[in-house]
Amino acid sequence: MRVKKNFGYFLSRIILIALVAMTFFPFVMMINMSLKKTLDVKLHFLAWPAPNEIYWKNFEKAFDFVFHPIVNSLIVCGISLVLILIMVSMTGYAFGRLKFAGKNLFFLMVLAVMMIPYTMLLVPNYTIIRNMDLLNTKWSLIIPYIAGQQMFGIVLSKTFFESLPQEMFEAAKIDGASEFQSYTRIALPLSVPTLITVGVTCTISMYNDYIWPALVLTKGDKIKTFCQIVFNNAAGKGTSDYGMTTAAFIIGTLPLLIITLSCLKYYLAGMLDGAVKG
Amino acid sequence: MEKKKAKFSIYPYLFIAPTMILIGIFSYYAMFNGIYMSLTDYRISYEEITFVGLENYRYLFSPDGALFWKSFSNQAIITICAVVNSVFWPLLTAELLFFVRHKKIANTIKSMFVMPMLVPGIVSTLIWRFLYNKDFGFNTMLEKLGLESLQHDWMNDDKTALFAVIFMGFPFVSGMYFLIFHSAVNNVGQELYEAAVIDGATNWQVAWKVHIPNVMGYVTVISTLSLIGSLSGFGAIAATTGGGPGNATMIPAMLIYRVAFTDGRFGYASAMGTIMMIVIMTLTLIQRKLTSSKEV
Repeated sequence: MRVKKNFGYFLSRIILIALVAMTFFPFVMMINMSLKKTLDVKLHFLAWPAPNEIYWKNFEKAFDFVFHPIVNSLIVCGISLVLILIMVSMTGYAFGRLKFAGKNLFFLMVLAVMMIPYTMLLVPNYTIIRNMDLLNTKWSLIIPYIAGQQMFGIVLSKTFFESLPQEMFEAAKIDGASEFQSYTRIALPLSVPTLITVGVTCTISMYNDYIWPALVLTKGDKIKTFCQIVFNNAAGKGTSDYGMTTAAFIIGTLPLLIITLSCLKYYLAGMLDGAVKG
Repeated sequence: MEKKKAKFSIYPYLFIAPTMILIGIFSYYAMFNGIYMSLTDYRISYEEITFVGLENYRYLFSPDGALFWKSFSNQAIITICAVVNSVFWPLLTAELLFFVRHKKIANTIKSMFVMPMLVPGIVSTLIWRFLYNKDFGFNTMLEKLGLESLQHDWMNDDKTALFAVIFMGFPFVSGMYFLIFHSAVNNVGQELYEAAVIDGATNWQVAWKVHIPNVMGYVTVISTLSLIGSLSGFGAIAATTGGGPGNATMIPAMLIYRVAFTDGRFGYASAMGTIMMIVIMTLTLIQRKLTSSKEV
């Protein structure tokens, strides 16, 4: 098809390019700042350092600053993720494939959780964790994450399990498979793509959280998470070493970037599904 | 040989038990406990909890609680802007991108809008905070343009702080809302587009008469999502202005957080939380009702 190159054509292209440029501007400046000394950030904000003037020391300092927090974040995300996926697939399977009394009521309870605002739960959940004597441990993050991050996954995997053909499960039953075997041998392997979607979505939101860690991990820097130390640093008006801070941002973004890019297809599919169904 | 399955099976309940127990504790018990706490003078330090009835609510409706209600007006401004921004800019971009008929270029641009989504929220927020800085950032750019008179300490000036918070994240394209609109606009269909073009429709007419009516359903969904997101989120404010300067950018969720964990007044914070929950649930239900009557 031929495209007419009139005024509208050029205007729409210019707006589009401007939108891309403005979207990227903050991130380009982040990279720019991370390559300069703080003094240069202040004096020559828009200038790019010459290749031989790049101040790599920012990254060295930042690495020491964020290495342990990143490891902590990944440990917390990893443990939570495994448990979330186990529970999500079991619950989703029960809601999607099994018949039992009270099913609709239980499912409604899962859906209704999404209506309770996060802010309302901060104080009570803090109290629960404190009463369990878990403050300042990794479990103070892991347990609430497992409890709070499942809803989207349950809805998604329920829909998936429902879509599987009944004959497949009947055939398995005839072959003598138990209920549990139909789940582990048939349903679970088929649901891997769905679980990847759920996993990526959950990992991103857990890795990105800083409000909750800032409440429950208050003692010592050893167990703090990446987003938390970045947040604490900002809230405490902490360091004004902009070069080092932005370098830390970049280092801390990399794990998430690598995880998400490797599963991008599933992630995007999940976001779209979740938004439309949820 | 195994017996035929009995009518009642414990299996399904075992499958859902771990999830339901956790939700039971961390959502339902927590929610009711929050409502109960709002009727006490509970504080963060282990003091004895005294039941005070509706005292916290009385306080909230007295002049001492005025800040909470004032913060709702900030929230209203922020939320209205957030909803408009999360519909207008992503839809505009999806529309503009649709008319880039070169598949490769269109896909590249789409991926470019996905990339910033993968940066942690706190990182984007803090970069914006740097850009609003007194000494560099936007002020440097204004200086280069010879507009020194427009320079501000954006986030510490109570005249500009609210605007700075709202503008943070401009042009609001990168994110799931854009992806939803992008797939919506493209799903309206090549055929419909080609039919319209053959009938002599201009691009402008295609966008207005073909696309917009067909993506209205998504507009409703996204308005709901961004409404709820904007009402319950306070992370960006907590990491930038903290509600200040003064209380120029204070919103209810931020105030609850501060009253609970800075002042340590759990009881009073829970009363505010309960009211906020009622507000959010009411708005969500109204929105759902409107949506369901329009579609289906």
